[in-house]
Parts: sequence; structure tokens; C-alpha cells
Amino acid sequence: MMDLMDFILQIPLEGVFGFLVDLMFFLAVYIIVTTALNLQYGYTGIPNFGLAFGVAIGAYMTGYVPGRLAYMLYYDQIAEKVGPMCPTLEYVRCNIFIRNEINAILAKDPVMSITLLILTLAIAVLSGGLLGFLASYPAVRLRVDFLMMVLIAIAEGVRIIGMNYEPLAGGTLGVSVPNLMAWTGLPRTMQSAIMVLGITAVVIYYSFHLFRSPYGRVLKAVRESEEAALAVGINVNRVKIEAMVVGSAIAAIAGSIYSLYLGNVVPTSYTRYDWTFWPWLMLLLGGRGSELGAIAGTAGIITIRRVISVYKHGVQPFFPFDVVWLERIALGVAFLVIMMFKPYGLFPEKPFRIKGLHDKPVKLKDKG
Amino acid sequence: MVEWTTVVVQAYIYSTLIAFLTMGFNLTYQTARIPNWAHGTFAAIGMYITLWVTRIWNMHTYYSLVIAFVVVALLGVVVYGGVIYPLKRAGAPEILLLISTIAVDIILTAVINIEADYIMFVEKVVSRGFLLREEDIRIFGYPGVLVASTVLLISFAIFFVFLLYFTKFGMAMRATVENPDLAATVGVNVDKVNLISWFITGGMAGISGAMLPLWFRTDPSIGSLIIINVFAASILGGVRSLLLAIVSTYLIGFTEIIGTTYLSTIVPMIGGVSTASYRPLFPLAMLVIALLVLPEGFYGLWEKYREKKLKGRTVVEE
Repeated sequence: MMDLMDFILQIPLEGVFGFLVDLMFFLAVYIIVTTALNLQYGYTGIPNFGLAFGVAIGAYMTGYVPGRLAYMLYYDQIAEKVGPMCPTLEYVRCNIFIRNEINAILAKDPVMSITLLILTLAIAVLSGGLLGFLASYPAVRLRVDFLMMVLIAIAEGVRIIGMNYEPLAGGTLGVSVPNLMAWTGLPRTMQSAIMVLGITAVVIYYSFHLFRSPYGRVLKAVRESEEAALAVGINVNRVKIEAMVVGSAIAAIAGSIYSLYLGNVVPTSYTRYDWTFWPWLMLLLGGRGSELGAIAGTAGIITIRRVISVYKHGVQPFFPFDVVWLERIALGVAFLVIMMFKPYGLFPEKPFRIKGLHDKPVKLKDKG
Repeated sequence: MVEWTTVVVQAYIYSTLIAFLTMGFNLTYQTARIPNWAHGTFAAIGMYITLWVTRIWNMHTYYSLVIAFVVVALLGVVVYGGVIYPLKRAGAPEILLLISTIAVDIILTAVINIEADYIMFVEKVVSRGFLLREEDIRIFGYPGVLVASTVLLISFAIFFVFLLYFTKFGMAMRATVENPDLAATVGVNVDKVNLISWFITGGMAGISGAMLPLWFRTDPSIGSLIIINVFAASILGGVRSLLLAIVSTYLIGFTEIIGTTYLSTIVPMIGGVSTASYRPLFPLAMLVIALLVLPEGFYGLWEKYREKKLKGRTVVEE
């Protein structure tokens, strides 16, 4: 067993192993995002075109909270070492030096690291949920087309604030995040893989539990017909608010682990393409409202995109423009093709089977 | 300090050019029943036609208005005929129709960026953040774009009033707006109405975009910024009215530019960057406020007022 572990750790990060780790990480993050969208759109029927705001707020909070907390706790120790290199001692300006000192301290302090990790995730979830709650105000009141505009507008607003307001997440340059898993002593990729996969497993377990519970059927009832749901006593507005809050909180977890893994938060990267439109495509491809379909759609598209990102630089010299735009065209065309030919996705959701109702034909009494 | 005349002129030209878009956006919104998310990007295509005509073909700038009208109008027809019409006929739900215009926007944005890269790398012309103000002519001592946009906007407004209220086709159009199914039953060719409205509004978006680089520094992403103004103005004016849409476009354009300038004289920096960087937040905030406070827009207010007046009259008549 020990040999195997050593063997895995000795494989260089380049090549196939690095690619697989990278792929698994992106898969995990995007599965969380698609699950959040599946909860909001697939189950409850709220077309959340502002999905990116949940992810972005999770990432901003990860850039804001753990580093500053650790800086506050160990201020004397850090200031003494950072002072000569960066006299202002401002968190954002002296970010790199401060992060290095924090990492050195936290590597010896597992309890503090875990506390900070849990605290960071909790704050990300809470702020995602809060933003989702604010966004649910229009979600329960507006028509679908107006709602689309408002949600895109909210996501853009969050992005513009994050991109410009430096104290939050470092503005355009971004801010680095301390390594909260250094105490394990494993290589960086392994630490992150353990953390990311663990959190993803929890989220998937929770969401499957939610989708298959009676509450999942309540969500679908709201999606299918609000009037009918009201008639059987479901508080439709409350269900929609809950879906927005929980969905945005889940998306915030994705943003948080994304930045924890990368070790930095760059607000310019939380665009609506990467965190709203691509997840939408994954969900539509897999099939909305079908939990396995969403995961399959995510897996397919993420794999294709990661492979493209590896070979991208190889084909770049043959084009007189940035090849990124070809990927964008593919994104748009894929949307249109799916909508025209497979509107319910590759793995459409299956109707609920209720024991006793579907398994045996229900006999109605003759009113002879 | 701040040159307020310049700021007002800037706000005026900006609003005038966006008014073309808002008018067109409202018309297609009413006939096809979906907001065209790609409408801002239509204008961005017009922008690059101007760059191409002026810098690469070395022709007079104002030829680009004609070319942009034709090209973008045809593009509008292709988008409606090739994407929205088939989806509608297949009975796609509203959400998918909304996504389809987003998909069109994604594709067009990518195409514009490819064109910009091509112009940059192959033709060696600056294609991002370009400004063609010195190419503009002066009419009676005023900048050409100021006069041309005003004249064209007024002509289009008169044209629409004439088309909608004094021609048979306009009647068919209004019938389609009221109820497409009913209009089809009484013999209106709804698809023709839609195609023609997408043609005209596409052309207007092209013209608006073609004039944009004559006063503003532009790059490919501007379409996605402008569309927020268009949404906000469309909702604030009330999607049902073309003329109120123009009024609200001016309101939002002036609020955005004058508000940002005024704010940056009081608070020059927020969070380490200049206050002007937060400019896109103005239309976003106006959009959200308009939707939550006045979802029917000015048109709804006007309708309420008219209803009240009519009620009053019936009481008097009784």
C-alpha cells in the first residue's frame, strides 16, 4: 500500500497524470455548478441566467475571508517579516508576501487550517444564499423574459463590482488565497484533490437526497404548474425562494473550492460565459431535471473542453485570430442544435414511479 | 474641472444612438414576443463595418451607414428565419426561445472578435478601442454624427408612425402585436410581418452601430454593455410603446453619463479605481429598479391615466 502511494506521488505533474487531475478537478467544480442549476431550472423551473453570481460571490468571499482572518490573528508575526519588503502592510497590496507567511504558519497548525477552511466555506455558502435570497425577490414576481434580464443584470453587476472594488478581491489583478491544506504534508495537487472531491461528494449526496425526497417532487410540481401546486396547498413563492437560496449557496461552494484549488481569485474570470452559459449547455445537453443526465452532460462537455485547451496552442499558428472564439462559436451552435433536435437532452428525465400506482394497474370500482 | 457641455453632447449622442436600438428592440419584442438579446451585438457588427469601410477600403465614412443597414438587416432576417422561426414552429417553450437569442449573441460576439483579430493581425489596423472621430464630417459647424443621428432618428420615428397607423401593413403589424393567433386567423401573414420587422430593426441597429465609433471609443464587447441600456429603456418606457421608449432611452443615457461624471467629481476613487469604472452599474440599477417598481413602464402609467379619464367621462355621460 505504501509503495503504491509513493509511486503515485513520484509521477511528475506533467503529462497524462496532470491532465487527469486537472480534468477531475474541473469536473467536480462544474458538477456542483450544474447541480445548482438543475435544482433551480431543472427541478423548480426558475431560469437562472445569473448563475455566475453565486459562483462569483463564493470566490470573492474565499479571497476575502481566510487570508484576512489569518493576517489579523498573526498580525505581529507577519508584519515583522513582511514590513521590510512591503512597508504599507496593506492586505491587498502586500498580498503575495503575506500569503507566503500565512502559509508557513498554517502548515504547522492543522486545527487553525481546518477551522479557517470550514469558516470560509460557511461564509461562502451564507453569502451565496443571501444573494440568492435577494435575487429571489424578482424571481417570484416577474415574467420569464423580464426575469432573464434581471438575473443577467445582477450577475453582471456582481462581476463589475468584483472587478473594480479592490478591497473585495483585488480588482482586476486578483488576490491570492492561503493554502489551507498544507498541514497534510502531501503534494499540492493531492491536497486539493482530497478537499475538492470530498466537498463534491457531500454536495452530490445532499442534492441527490433532496431531488429524490418528497421535496424534490414538490419542486417539480411547482415547475409543471404553479396553479395546480397552489391548489394542492404548496406555497409556491416559498418553494421558489428556497430553490434560489439553496441553488446559489451550492454555486458559491463551487466558486469557493475553485479558488481554493487555484490558490487565487481573479474576478475577471467569473464571466457569464464560463459560469452561466457553459453550465446551461451542460444541463440542456444532459437533460434538465435528470440528476444523472446533468452529470453526464457536464462530464462530456468538460472533457471536450479540457482536451481542446490542451491542443489549443498547437493549432493557434494556423489561424489569424484567437482560437478561443472558435470554442465560443461551438458553444452557441451547440445550444441551437440541442434545442432544435434534442430539447429534452440526451438523457431525458423519467417520470416518478410510485409503488402501487404504476406497478399494478389501479382498478376503479364499477359504478354499475 | 469638468466640461459640462462636452458631457451633455456625449450623453445626447449616446442616447440618440441607443434610441435606434430601443425602438427596434421594442418592435421585435412585440411582434415576435421575445426580447432579442443579440440586439446590442447587431450594433457591434455595424461598428466593425464602419471600421472596415473607413480604414481598409478607405471610402467615405457615411457609405458605411448604407452598407451596415443592408448587412445587419439581412442578418436580422437570417436570425429570425433560421433560428427563431423553426424553434417556434417546433413548439419550443419560451425559455428555449430566450436561450436561442443568447446563443445567437454568443455566436455573433465570437464572429466580431474573430473579425477584430483578423483586422488587427492581417490588415494591421487597430481594431480594439478604436475611435474614428477625425473621419467625421462637420455639418453647419456641428459634428456630423450629432446632426445625422438626430435627423435619422426623427425620420425613423415619423416612418414608424406612418407605417403603423397609415398603411395596411402597419395594421397587420399592430394586429400581430395584439394577438398573433387571432391575426393569423383573419388572414395576416404573421411570419411576413415578423420577417419585415426583423429586417427593419436589424437595419436600424446596423446604422446605430455604424455611427457609434464616430464619437465613442469602441471594442467588440460594447454590444453586451449597450444591451443593458436597451433593456432598461425598453422596460422603463413600457415595451408596448416606441415613442416612450425613445424618451426613456434619453432618461437612462443622461442619468448614466451625467450621473457618473457628477459622482466622480465628488468621489474620484472607489475601492482603488476611478469611479468611472462603475459606469455600467447605472443602467443595471435602473433596469432592476424599473422592473421592480414600474414593471409596466411609463406606458402602463399612461394607460392607467387614460382608463381613469375614460371612466370619469362615462360617469359624466350617465
